Amino acid sequence: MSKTGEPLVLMNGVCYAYASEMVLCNVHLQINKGDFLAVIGPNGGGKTTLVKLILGLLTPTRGTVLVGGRPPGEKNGFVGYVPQQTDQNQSFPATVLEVVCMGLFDPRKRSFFPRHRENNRLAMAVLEQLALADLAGRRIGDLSGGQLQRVLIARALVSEPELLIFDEPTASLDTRAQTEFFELLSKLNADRTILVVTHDLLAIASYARSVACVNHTVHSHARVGSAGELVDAFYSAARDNPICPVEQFRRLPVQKEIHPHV
Amino acid sequence: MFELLQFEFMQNALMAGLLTAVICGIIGTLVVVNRLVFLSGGIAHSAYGGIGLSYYMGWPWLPGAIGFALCSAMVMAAVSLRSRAHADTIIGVMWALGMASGILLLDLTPGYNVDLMSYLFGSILSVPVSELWLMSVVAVVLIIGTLWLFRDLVLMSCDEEFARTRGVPVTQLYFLLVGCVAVTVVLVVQVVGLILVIALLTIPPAIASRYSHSLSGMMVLACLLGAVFTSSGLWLSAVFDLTSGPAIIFLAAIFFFLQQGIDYLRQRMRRIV
Repeated sequence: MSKTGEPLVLMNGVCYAYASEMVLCNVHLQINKGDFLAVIGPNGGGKTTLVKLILGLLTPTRGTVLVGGRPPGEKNGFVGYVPQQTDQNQSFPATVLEVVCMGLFDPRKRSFFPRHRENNRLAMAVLEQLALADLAGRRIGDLSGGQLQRVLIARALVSEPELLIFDEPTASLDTRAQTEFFELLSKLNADRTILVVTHDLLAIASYARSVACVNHTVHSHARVGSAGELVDAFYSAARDNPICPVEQFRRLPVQKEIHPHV
Repeated sequence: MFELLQFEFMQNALMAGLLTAVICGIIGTLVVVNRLVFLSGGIAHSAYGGIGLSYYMGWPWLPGAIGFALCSAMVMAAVSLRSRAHADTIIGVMWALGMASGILLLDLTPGYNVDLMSYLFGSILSVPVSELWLMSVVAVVLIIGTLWLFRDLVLMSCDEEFARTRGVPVTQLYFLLVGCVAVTVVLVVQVVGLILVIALLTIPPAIASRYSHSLSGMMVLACLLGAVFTSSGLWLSAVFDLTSGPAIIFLAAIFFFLQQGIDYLRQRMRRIV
């Protein structure tokens, strides 16, 4: 466990280019322990690239990324990742319990006789915590969208991560499931740091503590405005508008910033 | 059936069928869950170019075919890692090119007239003992390798991106898997033929996937189904004097469609009830 106030993620002057196209440039970002950071921005603005840099799936072209004081990907289990549901091979023959156990896999501890019992116990504990214990023996292909989502969260949670990262988690959920999802996130936020990439401005306004706008570079904002103002600001911002929507909003005379978690 | 087994060629044929069932059950399961059926077909057909090249150059055909299949497999793997959509076309072209160049090279080879049918459908009744040994070694290596890398394979097949975040060497594993497909396909092709390999790579795992809750269960069930298909197909072909390869495929395909039909009816019944 790291101390309170110590930054979990520190990005310093980070640039990333795919082939010749610069996707992110000069990114400075700090994510502190206990934060609930929403990442917003236009399509192609580099949100997913930002997430992949933190996960260590991409190496920055320039600049440094530190996760828990180490290069990303080095501390296995420090970051829990919940990818978009469409990445999941739903026809894969696996039970919910097995999928959750995948979150405990460490290729450095490979063996012919893995410790199934211990892993199953930890996985069951997380499933119980998320009220999914009844589904443990179910095949993942037979789950509803909302259930699969929670199973993927369980898989990310089972390694006891400090930071949980979600990439557009609510895209395939209906309104009720979305609300339940964000309620769950705010519960998890009690003892974990959360980063969520989302287009759901209403949810950001009521749940997130801070916002990062990603459009080739990153503007972070330590506080969140109300939903209506966020929506106005977001939609008035054109793709190549150099002004960040949240920044634009902050120049407005209205000063009714809300703090959902006091 | 048992009086047929008095003949040594029948014993060898049965052994070859069972070994093929095991190899194809393991690799085929990974092929099916990773959706590499088309890629495997491409590898198998492009290996034909290697056979043509070996005959043309006067090399022994097995190393030539394996080398050619491995090279085209690596190209296909590299392309499909970069873009799944683009890979479809490239594999289709390489598939056709391999076949065509194989035939052209055989045309150009003086004095040779290799029977294409035996390559397509194999000659399981004339398998020499040395090939059985080679297949046994491949099967054992494959089983040990799969056991060692089993969790890695599960993570990669289930969710590639998540597997990477857990430190699974997905890219290397993918190339290894496609390489294994190339080697096993060529080895098994010379025994049972190209068409039978593709049938045994896809049909038993496809049926098994409906009734399995885990990758290991799917592999075991696919091996068992493959064994049932090869041995009963072999028996049918002996009793009714049919070509053995197509008899095995026919049996497997009938079983596949029966299973699909029953599944469909069961789902409809459930909806009505």
